[in-house]
Amino acid sequence: MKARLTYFISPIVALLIWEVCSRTGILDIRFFPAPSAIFYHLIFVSPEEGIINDIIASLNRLLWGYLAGCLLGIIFGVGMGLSNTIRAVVYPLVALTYPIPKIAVLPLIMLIFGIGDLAKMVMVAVGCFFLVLINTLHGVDSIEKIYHDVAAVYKIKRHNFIMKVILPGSLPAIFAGLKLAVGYSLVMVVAAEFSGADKGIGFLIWQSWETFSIKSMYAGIFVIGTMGFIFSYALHALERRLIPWRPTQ
Amino acid sequence: MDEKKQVQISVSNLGKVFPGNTQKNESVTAYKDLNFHVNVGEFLCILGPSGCGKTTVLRSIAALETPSSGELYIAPTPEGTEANIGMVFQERGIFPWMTVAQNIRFLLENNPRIKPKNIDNLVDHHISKVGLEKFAHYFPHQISGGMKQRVSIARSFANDPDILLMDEPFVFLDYQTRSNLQELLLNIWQESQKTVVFVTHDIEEAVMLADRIAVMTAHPGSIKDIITIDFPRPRQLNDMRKTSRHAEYVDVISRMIRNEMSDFIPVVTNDSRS
Repeated sequence: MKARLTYFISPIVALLIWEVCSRTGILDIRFFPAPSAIFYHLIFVSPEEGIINDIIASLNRLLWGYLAGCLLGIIFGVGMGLSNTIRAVVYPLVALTYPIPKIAVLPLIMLIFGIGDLAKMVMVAVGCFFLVLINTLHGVDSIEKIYHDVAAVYKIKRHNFIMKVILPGSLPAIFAGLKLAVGYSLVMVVAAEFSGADKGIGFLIWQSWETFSIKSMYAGIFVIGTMGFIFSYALHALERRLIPWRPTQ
Repeated sequence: MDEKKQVQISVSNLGKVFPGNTQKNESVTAYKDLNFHVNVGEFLCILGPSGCGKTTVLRSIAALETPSSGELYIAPTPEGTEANIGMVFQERGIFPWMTVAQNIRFLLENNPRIKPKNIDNLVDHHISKVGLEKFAHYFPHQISGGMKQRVSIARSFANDPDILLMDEPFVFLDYQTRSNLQELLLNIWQESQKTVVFVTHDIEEAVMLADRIAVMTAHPGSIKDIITIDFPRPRQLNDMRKTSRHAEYVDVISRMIRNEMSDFIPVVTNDSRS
């Protein structure tokens, strides 16, 4: 507990320095308003401006996009790991499309899915899909041969083998993918909301910049950062719960 | 026919060649011209130096490898179904993501011979048989190497196999743990009367456990001799170890293996200098 508290020291000190610099005029408060002013804005002004709706809109897109992308990534990763046919078909496609920056296909996705929520969810899903797929595939591939042998000798049924050997065996690698995907999904949702959106945190940040509402912009940045922190933390807790057999480091 | 004499596994002229990689194209003969049989309820040890193909023989019986030539016959059960085979591996054979109890249960749930309502009892029974009651809900990383092999043994016996294959199961354990587990294995085997094929490179271990020992030699793996260990059962391993009979068996077999090894000591001739 004490060790955890020490983690708060450096951020608080950084905020204090910022506060002092803004108040004394070292920093231009038009660009760098004091943290206290930003938090005041976030708590008392932003809700009036409808930040709650922006949060809900972004969360909605994030959640469904993330779930869909990760689920498909796991399914394809396991499928490719277990079947050479699926691997032979899917792997070249993945290898070809993976290096394309996902932001670059945003216009294409808007062309196909329009400028509504669906397009944003697809953007998030596409970003998550590749990361989770590649990590899952790696996880399935790295399951030791002996477990395949044990399953073969004891004639473990196929669905049991997948659900109770392959999935738990690759779970640590899958979680590595899921964690990376959290960060990526935030990038994707904000990028998608920068253009062609009428609500969402990305929209809020972009619009605040255009109208020079700098405090609203900071409020948006703060909110999206907090979301990332909460998601990562929740995922970490879930991992510890789902992988109790992993020796603690 | 006396039940003891029924053949469980019969191997004739069995050979296994691993195809070489495409660059060098050198195929490797794992074993060749194997002829032996294992009777129902018998404890057969396959003894040989590392690299003699003894593990590959075991894996072939388990259908994890396909022999290249010869015939491998495994007798069906009295009910006419395919014989049920269990296997204990050197280490890491148990699933790290399952507790001790779950590891045993998982195999039973996939065994059509086991009635679902019996599973709970079977799991408890076999956990206590190997003395792991207190560790039933521990994960493998929380228990010692010896305990893991206990789980492996409990799991394979609980699964009610007709044939139990053991691939150097005690090789990574310290002497004391190994002795304890040998004793434990013999006790469980004595009760269950399963057919066991046990692979080891440890002469003493083979003598203490086996009814008969198939002594293998390397390059290529083949059986040099099959020796019957004429020692009454049940055996008390600590007493047995002190007998002169035991020492004789160990001596005869080690000489047999040593003679074989001396064939491979390179002799320097003019030809080999090139």
